[in-house]
Amino acid sequence: MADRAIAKPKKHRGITATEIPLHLMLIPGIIVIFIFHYIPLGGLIIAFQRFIPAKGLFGNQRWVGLDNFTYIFSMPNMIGVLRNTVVIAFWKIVLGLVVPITVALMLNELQYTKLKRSVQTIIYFPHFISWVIFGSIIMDMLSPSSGIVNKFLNLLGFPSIYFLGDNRYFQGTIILTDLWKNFGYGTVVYMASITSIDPTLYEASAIDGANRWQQTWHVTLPGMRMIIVLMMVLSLGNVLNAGFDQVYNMYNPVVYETGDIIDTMVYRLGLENAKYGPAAAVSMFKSVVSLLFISTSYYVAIKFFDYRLF
Amino acid sequence: MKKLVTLVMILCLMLTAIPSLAVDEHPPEYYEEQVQLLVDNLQSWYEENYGEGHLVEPFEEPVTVRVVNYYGATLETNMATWNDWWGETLENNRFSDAIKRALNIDVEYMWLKDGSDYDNQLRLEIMAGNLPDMFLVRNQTDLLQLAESDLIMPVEDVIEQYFTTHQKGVINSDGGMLLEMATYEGQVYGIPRNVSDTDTFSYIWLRKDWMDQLNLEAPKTMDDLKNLMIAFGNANLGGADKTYGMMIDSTLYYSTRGLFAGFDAYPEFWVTDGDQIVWGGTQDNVKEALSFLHELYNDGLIDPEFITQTNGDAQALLWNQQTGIVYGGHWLAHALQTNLYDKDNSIDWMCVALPSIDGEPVEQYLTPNKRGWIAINKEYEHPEVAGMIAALCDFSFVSGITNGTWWMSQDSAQELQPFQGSVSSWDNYNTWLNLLECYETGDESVLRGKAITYWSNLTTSSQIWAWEHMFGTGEYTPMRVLADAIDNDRIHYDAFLGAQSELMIDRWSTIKDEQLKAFTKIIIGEISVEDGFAAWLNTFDSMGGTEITAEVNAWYAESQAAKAQ
Repeated sequence: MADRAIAKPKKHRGITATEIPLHLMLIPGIIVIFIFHYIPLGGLIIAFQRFIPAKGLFGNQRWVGLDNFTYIFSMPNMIGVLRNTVVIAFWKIVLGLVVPITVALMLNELQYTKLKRSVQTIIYFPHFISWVIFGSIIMDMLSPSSGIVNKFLNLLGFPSIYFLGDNRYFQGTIILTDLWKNFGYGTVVYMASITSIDPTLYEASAIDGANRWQQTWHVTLPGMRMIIVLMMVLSLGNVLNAGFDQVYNMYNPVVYETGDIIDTMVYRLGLENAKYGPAAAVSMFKSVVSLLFISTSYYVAIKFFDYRLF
Repeated sequence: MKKLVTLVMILCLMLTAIPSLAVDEHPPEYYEEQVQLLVDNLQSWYEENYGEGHLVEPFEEPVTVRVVNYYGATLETNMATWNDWWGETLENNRFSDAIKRALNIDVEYMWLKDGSDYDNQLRLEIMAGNLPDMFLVRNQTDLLQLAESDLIMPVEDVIEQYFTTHQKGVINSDGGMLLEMATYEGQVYGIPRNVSDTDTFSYIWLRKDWMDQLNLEAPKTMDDLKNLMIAFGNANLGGADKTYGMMIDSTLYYSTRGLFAGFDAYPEFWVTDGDQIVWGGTQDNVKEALSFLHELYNDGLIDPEFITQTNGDAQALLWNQQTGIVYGGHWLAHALQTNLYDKDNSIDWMCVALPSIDGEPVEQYLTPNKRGWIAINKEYEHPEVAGMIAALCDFSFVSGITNGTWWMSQDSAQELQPFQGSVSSWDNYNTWLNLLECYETGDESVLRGKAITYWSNLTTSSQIWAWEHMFGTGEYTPMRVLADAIDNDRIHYDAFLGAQSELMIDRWSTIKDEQLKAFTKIIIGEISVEDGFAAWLNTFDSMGGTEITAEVNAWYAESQAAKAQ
């Protein structure tokens, strides 16, 4: 297969003369990454200080060891907050993979190009709206008295549900509305990978007597495998990112129990006074966990799918 | 087709251009006229009125002062228009120009930020060691940390020597609260920029036309209030599908502050209790108020959706005529006019004294309100510049020689001042008294400062109804309610003005969070009033609230002792 050939280029020793300019073109990128991603790593020391801005970045700050971490993890409800974060993020990741793939496969079967294009555009559109706006649209739609969703439920004889004010429904609402906003983006990515599948494979399978379903299962899905694995590896790094923008715009004190996530909790902590220490501690904690997840998933990808980025 | 698209795009562009034309129109030479007026009269005015001309004596050699500032979206938009008219920019504006010409001071902006980013930008710059010469610090903790780090200078002498009598009056208008908040180890490190404290004063607004039609009296007690809610609901004069007793929102306190006060409960303030101070949110009176709110909720008098609504969202109840009772600020009149009166002139609102549990007059707490404090870099050689600039800015507004409306109170122009404007803590009240004087004598020359702007709003603006309902001579205006409270000494200040301790910095925002959570749950009946309140007291204690109360009391004892000396 073609991608196999790309994954394992012909080996040779050293760099040939023609390749030198190509490698030199990497330099600006490396410099930018070094300046904006490696140097700031030094700021992680803040996570171990009682940081007071007036004393300066390299000033005489008080070192407090792991106090900032203990402070964060001693917050009441911290266990609940961690659980909410992981549950919401987990379902967002899973549904964020399964739904777009399914929709992409279904759209791919559509013969009528104009319809296909319109559906694609329509489902992609919410991705570009910010959560501030999308959140208020959803709040309007889900309002128990005047929202369209509850009006419909009432029509069918069900009582109104307070989706955003009831702990039983809040997490599900967050997960599904996020899915609604973002599945179009994933769908477009997967559709693109489907179009890159060699059409002769479909012809060959048709000659072998494969029906539509078998073609999907044995040609389309394997053809998309690499991009699926890539998206999965990247999304696993988000296991502690349950979506600050979204939750912040949609939650309220009544549903803190099921809706409060790490980011929103830290945001509220630092609202009145700039608490750089605990904020740095949390972001460090999140980075370390993300690193673990990305490394593991990358390892799994190599092991089972022979997928390599490098 | 293409033509149509182009046409639509041009239309869109034109539409977006329209708001920028909304600023007050002035001829191109107006700017020069105003600045020249100020330059010519500044010193003589201070000399004649206060004998303080020497305080605004220009420097012989130019002096540079590096400052920073923030601005809002309105100013940014207006600046585009002003730039077209007279080449003004955020950095080179009417104030910096006048300061240069009248005082020979070069104002140099190190940076300007949107208001919401200002605090963080300032902290970053301080962290990096880029301290301006003079700057506004909005957060008390930031100011005290700067003092602790020995980066800024004590300012008591600066105020004493270089500030005008008028400015000193403003600074002390709150009885020294803001000076006390800026005190570190016995010395004051920030020059207060006061603004009206009474903005947190809560008023109750009632639908007057409904009350007149139903022949109802203004409520005196909480029972009266509830009966009024029920009467409004039964009559449903607005013809709404569903009515509610009153409007509240998810942040709770702004829309219920006056209701809590009616129970002698102050859940947002440190209150005095004998010779101790206690956190208002833990007092038993709060429980009674919550129980009342829960009762209203149970009886369907509060919209169950309030928990997801901002104040703006919740106001839909007013505009749809679903309720005729709301607690809020005096400025609510503006929205009442735009959304109700302008559509139907028979609609009327009134503002009456707050009802209370026993029918007695209600007492209220205020927080010292400020734009912040001016901090002066320890290295800076000309601290007097702070006083000179403040004097010049004051002059532009209060002298009556220059057009104060143009300089300050219209189109957000006041944000152009190097450290933002500053007015007496009782400015709303004082302005109203000034307006009454003008109403009585019919002589517009008695008007000063903000009253000049307000007078023109009261007489010639498109919001006359709203202005009359706030600052007019009517019997049922917020200012009359406020005056009654001031005259009878029913206003108190938050009892704790000290610096936040480390424990408090760590815990306090979470404790307040828990309080809001607990109160909301009690109101919607997710937990009973008794159990819920007991649980909240428990949380308060386990989060360190009791220790914090002890710290606060230690500060209180110290500050009382210092005052007694």
